[in-house]
Amino acid sequence: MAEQDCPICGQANPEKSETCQKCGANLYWAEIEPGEVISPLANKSPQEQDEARILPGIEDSLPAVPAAFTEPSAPVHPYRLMVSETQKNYVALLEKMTHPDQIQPADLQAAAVRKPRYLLLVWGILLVGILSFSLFWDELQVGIPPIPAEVLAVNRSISKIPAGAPVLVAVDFQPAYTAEMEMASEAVIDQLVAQGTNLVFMSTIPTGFWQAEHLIQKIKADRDLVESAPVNPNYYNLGFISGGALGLANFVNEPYQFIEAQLPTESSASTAGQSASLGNVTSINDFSVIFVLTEDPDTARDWLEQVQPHLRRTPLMMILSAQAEPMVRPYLEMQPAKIQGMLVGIAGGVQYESLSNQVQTARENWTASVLGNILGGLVLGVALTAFLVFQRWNPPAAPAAKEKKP
Amino acid sequence: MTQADWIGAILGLCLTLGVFSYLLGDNRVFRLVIHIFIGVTAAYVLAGSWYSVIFPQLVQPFLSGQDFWNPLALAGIVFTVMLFSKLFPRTSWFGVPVMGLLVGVGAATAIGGAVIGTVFSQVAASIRLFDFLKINTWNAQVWVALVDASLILVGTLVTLFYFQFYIRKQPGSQGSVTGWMKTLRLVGQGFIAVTLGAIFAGVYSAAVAALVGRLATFKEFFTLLFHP
Repeated sequence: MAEQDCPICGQANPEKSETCQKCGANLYWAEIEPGEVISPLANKSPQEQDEARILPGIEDSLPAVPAAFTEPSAPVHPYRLMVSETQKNYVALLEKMTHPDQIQPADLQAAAVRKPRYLLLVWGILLVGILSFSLFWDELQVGIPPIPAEVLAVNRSISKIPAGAPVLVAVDFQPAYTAEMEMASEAVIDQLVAQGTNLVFMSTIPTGFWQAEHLIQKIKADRDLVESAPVNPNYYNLGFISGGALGLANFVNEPYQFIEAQLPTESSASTAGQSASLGNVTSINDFSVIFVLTEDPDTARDWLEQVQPHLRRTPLMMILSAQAEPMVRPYLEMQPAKIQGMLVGIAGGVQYESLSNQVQTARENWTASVLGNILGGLVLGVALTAFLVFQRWNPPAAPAAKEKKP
Repeated sequence: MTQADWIGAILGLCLTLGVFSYLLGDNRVFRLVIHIFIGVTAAYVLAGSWYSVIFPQLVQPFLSGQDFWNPLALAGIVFTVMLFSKLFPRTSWFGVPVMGLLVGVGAATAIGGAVIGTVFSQVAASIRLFDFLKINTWNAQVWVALVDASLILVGTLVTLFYFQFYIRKQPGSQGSVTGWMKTLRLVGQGFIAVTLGAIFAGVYSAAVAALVGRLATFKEFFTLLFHP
């Protein structure tokens, strides 16, 4: 039996094979010389060739079937000549991605990132253990940090607010940050309640309504414990103002229309236990102070960009989570400052509590918070040192030499 | 504590322990708790949107009859219906004008606010830091104020240099950042690293505060349980 050698790899293939058994090259097209025209009827018998023509009997007449559309007309290049090893690897990767059913379990095991689960467990137990220990051992106390100017500014502004004056409080933090934000803001809101101000709560996030209710009810419950008669804070919860920055811009222009739209009837306000009188609020500047409680620097920036430029005499104060501080502090430090006072995280709450001497929520948790931060710093430092030492002893392998382009 | 408070406290304790169970690896209890949290959050968002936005601003005016022929209120209803049409592929084109309006007005508001509230004011504040007359009025030591101002200026510039990706390609080479530009970009990288480090520290601190808050509720629960 005659054999056909592959012009690419030299493999001997059976006669009339269309592709090479070794490299897969197309043997039929590999035989064609450049410029040679192959008739689509070349492989047919003489009778079949004659029947297929438009004019049977005339050898050079065109085939009846448009062969240009049924047979390949362009030369097919053997792919081993044109594809580098890197490109083949890419093709293999693409095939794996497009045919996930063909992925072998061994591939998945190699690709999986091996997380040291026991380290996570040890870290979790260590952190929870030390924090719990510090919370339950009341004698363990860490000193109060020095009170910065921005915290003193908040205290000065609140002290000047007369009873009955409206104060806008934007409760713009997500439920996950409730613990930190309430520890930071409780002393401030408590002082505002104690001074008999009219608190107006609002939020640009849908869950803000309940966050505000939770905060004010917590303060009421704490005050009821120490006061002889039940305390009824004067507040008005406007709820959720939709639209983000757009909603804020709208609110700044027409605050009273929002107040009317949110709670239009006196009866509904009294049903909700809200007793603040807001008849004199027609402009954003009618509020004595605006407090923004947020953990999100973007939300803080919305307030600074959409509301602050409209404020003429009303100070804008921020009570922030520790994670938002680095992005918001420039607005406090700039001259003229866009923020007139700021409290940050549990530290801010502790500092303000030391000024007002009423609420002690942040103070009770301050030691645990400091220990948690120190522990995190230590673990990070040890991990970084271990990484550097490991790299020193086991330097990463030099990258492989670049493959020459074909 | 009332009976409801006790039930709430026990539920909170169980759910918190369920989240902590992730330390042992991904498990069904953790997934159940996460599903509960997501479901409750979705329900809160829906209820908040209904009671604070949809009912008082869209439904109530029509029910009361006061705004029945108010063009703005009617426009709100029409735009809402147009937006709902985007739920179905065949009618989604109907909501395109409203989406365009929302995106356009939102972008204009955000850009206007950013330019006036942040870009102009921050640039002006950075320039003002070198104003000797103003430094005296801030009661700050001049040299300290100038060092601060210089640090801010240098930090701003080198950070901007880091994001400079234009490279002049020489004939016969692939082109790369060399010389003084490379040094400036390296310093800029350092400033960015410090900034990201500060943000990471803040995020960690916020997470620790959340954990402390949860553990504090544990303490409160056990204190009430054993010393009511």
